[in-house]
Order: sequence, then structure tokens, then C-alpha cells
Amino acid sequence: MKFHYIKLVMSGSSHHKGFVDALKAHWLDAGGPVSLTSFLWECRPTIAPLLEKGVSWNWLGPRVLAVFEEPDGSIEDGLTIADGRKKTLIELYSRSARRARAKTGAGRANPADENFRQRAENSGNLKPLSGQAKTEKVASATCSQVSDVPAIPPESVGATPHGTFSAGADPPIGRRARIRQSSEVRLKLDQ
Amino acid sequence: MSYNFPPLSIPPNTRIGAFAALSSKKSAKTTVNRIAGNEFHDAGYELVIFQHDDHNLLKCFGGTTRLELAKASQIMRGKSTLDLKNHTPLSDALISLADKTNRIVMLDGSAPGSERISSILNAGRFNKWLADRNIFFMFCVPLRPIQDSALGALAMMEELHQVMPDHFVVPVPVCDPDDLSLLPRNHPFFTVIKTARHGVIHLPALAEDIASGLERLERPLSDIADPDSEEALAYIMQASGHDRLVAGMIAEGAQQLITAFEKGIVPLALAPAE
Repeated sequence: MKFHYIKLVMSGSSHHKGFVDALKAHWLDAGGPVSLTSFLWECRPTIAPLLEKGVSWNWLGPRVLAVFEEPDGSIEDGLTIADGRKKTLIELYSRSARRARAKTGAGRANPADENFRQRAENSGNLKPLSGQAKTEKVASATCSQVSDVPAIPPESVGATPHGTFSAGADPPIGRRARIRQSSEVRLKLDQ
Repeated sequence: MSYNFPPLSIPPNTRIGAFAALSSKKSAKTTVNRIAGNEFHDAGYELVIFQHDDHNLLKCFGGTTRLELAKASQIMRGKSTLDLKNHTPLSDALISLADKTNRIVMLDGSAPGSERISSILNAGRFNKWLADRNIFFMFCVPLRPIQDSALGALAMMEELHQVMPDHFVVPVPVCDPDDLSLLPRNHPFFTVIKTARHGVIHLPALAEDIASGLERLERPLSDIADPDSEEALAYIMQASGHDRLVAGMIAEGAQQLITAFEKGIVPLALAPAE
């Protein structure tokens, strides 16, 4: 993941252009069409410092979305974003930041992301983290009992064993290799 | 010019404990579940399968349970919780995922069932319950590049994003990418692709007679697709009523679907059992 350095003091169209150019460079680094979550992940090195400086998602969000939707397009200054879309962006961005923290380990979180989270929580735009995944067994959530084996109709014959036509002697991995090879042959014939 | 779909993007080591193909429109939901079930089955998972419609296309992968939907007349007579009661086996199966790490719960939603499932999952509070245990639901929303299908997919995705925001909602466009250049840029099909938060899984559109031939076959797709199996070819001929050549094309259709889906779900890191 490349870092595209931008020195921005947030005013004026030059900062708009610099930011948009950096986002477009991140798009290219990502290798073309990616999901919105992946794009936000790629853009974190550019977005995080701006959040740390206090730049609002009202300014960042429309530019991020505009580049995501039209990476080759001309992105005008003065864009706005609907509240719903802004909330979605914030949530997806924070999710990508959480995953980054999970990858780097506890205690080594990006300070910019932590400050972002604190500000977002204070503003009510983000729900507080609910804590680590629970590892204790849950006897029952909403049901009166946990079925060890859920209702399986008595007439069910169960799963077909692998390689039924070869009486179980054909492991899936070998058969899958033959399927891929045959598919490649067909693709070549179609060209 | 061919269209580049954004590939599926899911963090590594994510446990997909539940899988569903949902759409309020007729749109290859059961086909997607057959392909996914085939993939999970080949990777050695235990599958627990629920379906709204009555068919045998998923029985080969594991025990199937039919979930009845409340009729309009029943709801009008005040049986407002009948759908929730009828989906209790699904709820139980999702709860069991905490203890059964090799299990995947699958739901083959009908069109009306797909419209109700968000409310059912919301009532069960499954968004948080599953995510807290690092178990994730993958909702696949198939669509074709036609207005009605795309609008239905968009509505389905928006609903699932609202109710299950911590899980994966993945459009499955079923089409030839070269045909998309004929669509106007503001077609809702492209809106669906842009709405995807985690990429898409693209599947090829099969010729109608090949697709309908596949629908008559109740064996796992990997069996049907095996290019070395004369028994498979004989089965296809017998079950579909077609001759050897068309039966061979049907097998090739199954191969196309398997290889496309396998390529599309690379981030899940499934591998066929040895």
C-alpha cells in the first residue's frame, strides 16, 4: 500500500485537487475496480492524517465517493453528501480501521484512527465499540434451547458422498482439477 | 468492451457460518445456492439447508428443511407471528454455529420469503449475536442486467445492509460482461454494483436450454461437471431427456458455473477436500 504524501491546510480549491489526485492514485494502486470497503482501506494513509487534523467527513466524504464512482472523471469542488451516505462511509472506514488494528495487534493502533474514533463517538456518528468477541458459551440467546442438531426431516437422505459416480473413490480435489482443465479447453475453443 | 466487476473483498480468516441467496425477483437464487453448496460440500463442510420452495435440488448436499411461509389469509386472521414460528428451525441452526465450527447454515429463499427474511433476522437479533462470535453471514443477491431484477436487488441489498450491517451482502450479477456496454450508464444494474460494499461474485449467463437442463438434475454440480465420467453423462442424458451432445454441453455449463464461482470466492480460501 503506497503512501501519497499530501500537505494540506484545508482551504481552497488546490487542496481539493490535491486530495482528489491522491484518491485517484490510490484507486490505481488498488489495481482498478474494488469494493468501497477496499477503496477506503487503500485510502487510509491519506484520509487518516486529515481526520487527525479535524477535517470533516462532510468535506472528505463526497470526494471519496466521487472518485470511487468515477475514478476517471473530473471531480468538481463544492460537492456535498447526504447524511445517510456519510454515515455509511464513516462506518465502513471505521471497520477498515478496526481490521487494521486487529492485524497490527492491540496497543499498536494508528493514533489518527483512535482520535477519529473518539471524535466520531463524541459526535454520535459512531456507536462505541462493544468490546471483544465473546468467547464464553451461550446456553440460549432468543430460543429456549440450543439444538445440537437442528430439525432435519426424517426423509432426508443426507449429503451425497463425494464422487458418487465413482463409488466414493474420487476425491473432490482431483475432480476439481479436471473440471478446471476442461473449462480452460472450452474457453480456448470459444476464442 | 468487457466490464470489470470489483472482486469479492473479505478479510482473511473470516468464518462464513451462514449463506443465503435472496431476492424478491426471480433471479437464479437456487442456482447460486447449488453452486455455493457444491463448493462448501467439496471443501468438507457440514451443510444444514433450509428452503422456502419445494424442490430437491439441494438435498444432495445435506439435510434440507422446508420453511413454510404464512399465507396472506392466515396473517389477515391475526396469525401475525406465524412466519417467526415457522423459521424457528433456522434460528436454532444459526445458534448451533457457535458450537459447530464445521457447519454452514444455508437458506434458499423464495421471492416472497426473501421479502420477509430481514424482519425475521432482525427479530432474532442475529446481526450482533453472530458478529460477536466472529461468525458471519454471507447474503448473495443475484441479479440480471434488466431493470426489474436490478431494482429488486437494490432494495434487497439496502434492507440487508440495514438489518445485518456487520455481515456481507454480495451482489451476484449473472450476465455476459460484454453485453453490459448496451446498458445506459444510469441503469440500476450499475447502481447495484456500486452499492456493493465487499465486491461482487460474477457468474456467467448460460443458454436457456443448458440452464433448464441443469435444473432437472439433482446431483452435486461437481459430479455433473466431471469431464471424465461416462456415468455422469449417462445420468444427464437420462434425467434431462437430451442426447449425448447436449448432455455434454450441460456438463460444460456446470463446469462454467463451478469455475466462475470458485474464482469469485478466492478470499474465502476454501479448498476441495483431499
